[in-house]
Amino acid sequence: MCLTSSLVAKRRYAFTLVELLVVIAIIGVLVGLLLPAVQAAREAARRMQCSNNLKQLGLGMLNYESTYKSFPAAYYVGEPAGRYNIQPMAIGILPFIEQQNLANQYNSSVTPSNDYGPAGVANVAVISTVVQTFVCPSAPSAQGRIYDGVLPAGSLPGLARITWRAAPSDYTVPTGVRGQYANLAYAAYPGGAGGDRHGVLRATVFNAPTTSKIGDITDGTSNTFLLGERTGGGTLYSGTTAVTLPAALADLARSNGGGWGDALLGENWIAGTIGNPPTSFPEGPCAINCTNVRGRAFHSFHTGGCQFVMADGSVQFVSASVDGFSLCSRVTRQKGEVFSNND
Amino acid sequence: MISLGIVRLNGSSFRPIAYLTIFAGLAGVLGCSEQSNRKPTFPVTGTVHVDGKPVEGIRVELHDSKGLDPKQPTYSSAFTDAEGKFVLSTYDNGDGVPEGDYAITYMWGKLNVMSMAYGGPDKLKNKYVDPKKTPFKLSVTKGKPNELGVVELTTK
Repeated sequence: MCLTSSLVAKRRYAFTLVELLVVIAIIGVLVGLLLPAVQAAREAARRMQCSNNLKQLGLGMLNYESTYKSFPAAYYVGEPAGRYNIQPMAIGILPFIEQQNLANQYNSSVTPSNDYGPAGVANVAVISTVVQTFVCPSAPSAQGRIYDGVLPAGSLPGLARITWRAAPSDYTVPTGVRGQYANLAYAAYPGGAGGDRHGVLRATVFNAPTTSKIGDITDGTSNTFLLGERTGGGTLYSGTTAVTLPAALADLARSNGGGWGDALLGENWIAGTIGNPPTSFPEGPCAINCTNVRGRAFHSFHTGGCQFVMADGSVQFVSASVDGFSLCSRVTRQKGEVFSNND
Repeated sequence: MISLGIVRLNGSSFRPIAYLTIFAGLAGVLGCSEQSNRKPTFPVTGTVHVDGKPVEGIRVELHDSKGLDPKQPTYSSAFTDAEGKFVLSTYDNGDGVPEGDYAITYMWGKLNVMSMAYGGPDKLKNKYVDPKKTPFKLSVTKGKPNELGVVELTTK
């Protein structure tokens, strides 16, 4: 009697091998289920931070507009010729995204360039500072993407080659649609690809009077992009693969306008490209996530699309399979297209 | 059992089922139409020589003889490599060209780094850039790859 009860007690305080194996197997299955979900949740969190940055930039621009009664120029080129005063778009909105300190250090009468004396070099120090609001956490580390920019000789009449150093911006100005992307998108549109295909922000070159007010967005502020994603820095991508450029094309990456203080950020007419483009980056039907080359496509590391802030301050996610007409309609501010906003 | 089924179909549970079926059908149709928005493409390759030598960076473009198809517009182009070779692309790198009759145009320009547009001045003196005047034609038919061979151009 006494013996059996002690045996029963012993059995109660131990697990059998089979029980342990079953528990381990269940834990294994649970971990297997959870880990991919955790990875997806991390990317979802980064994408949310990314869309929050877009929202801040959009609100900054709208506050700039209500203060100065006009959006900032996509970029500004003042005379005299030869030694131009070239100004990027983002300097003006720095005070509206809580970067007043950086704005105070900047001298807007000199081009940020290594070649235009101490004031130009001081401006380079400002634009090579990483500003987290311009960085999408889904993209590679921002510190590693500070790059040397260049504007080749003759890019503007009489211009000698200038260089600078810039910190990345993963958000870009869509200045319009053009080229084969516009041709394909407007193939069935009455009047075709002609007419005003400008985006919201306009470049001011040689003091030409271009204004861009809220009132100029006749297509409707909810239907028009203010800014979109394009991975910045000095690396060009084909899809999400970094491209090694042949030596003859080295300047292409350095002129890609991938910095928040890089004036070329504001010269970005979307002409599309093809899937997995070669280094010639031909124009074509893809304008989302196929490449981050300026003048070709919007680009992000999110799966399946890119985010945009509209001129009403809302953020939209647009799928990579978006219809060209639908995307073009949202880039242009005055073309008057009727389109479906659902993709 | 059968009568029960009929009663159920005529009853309140019919509507959700019907809506679901219609929704699934619509989704299927929409999904299919999105998939088929691309035309099938067939490989087209060739080599460009200018004055007898291969030249890199010449743009090869195709122009449909019927004009741009408004329903499924396509644009096929390529740039030559260091050996003068090119592989035409429409949707993806090297995927080829949809069926049809095309005029081929050639331009030896360069990329404008400011505007990122490929343009003139054309070192071939605009001799091969007009789709109406170019002597080069191409007919792409289903399942038949095209090798255009060596295309001789001249700057003279």
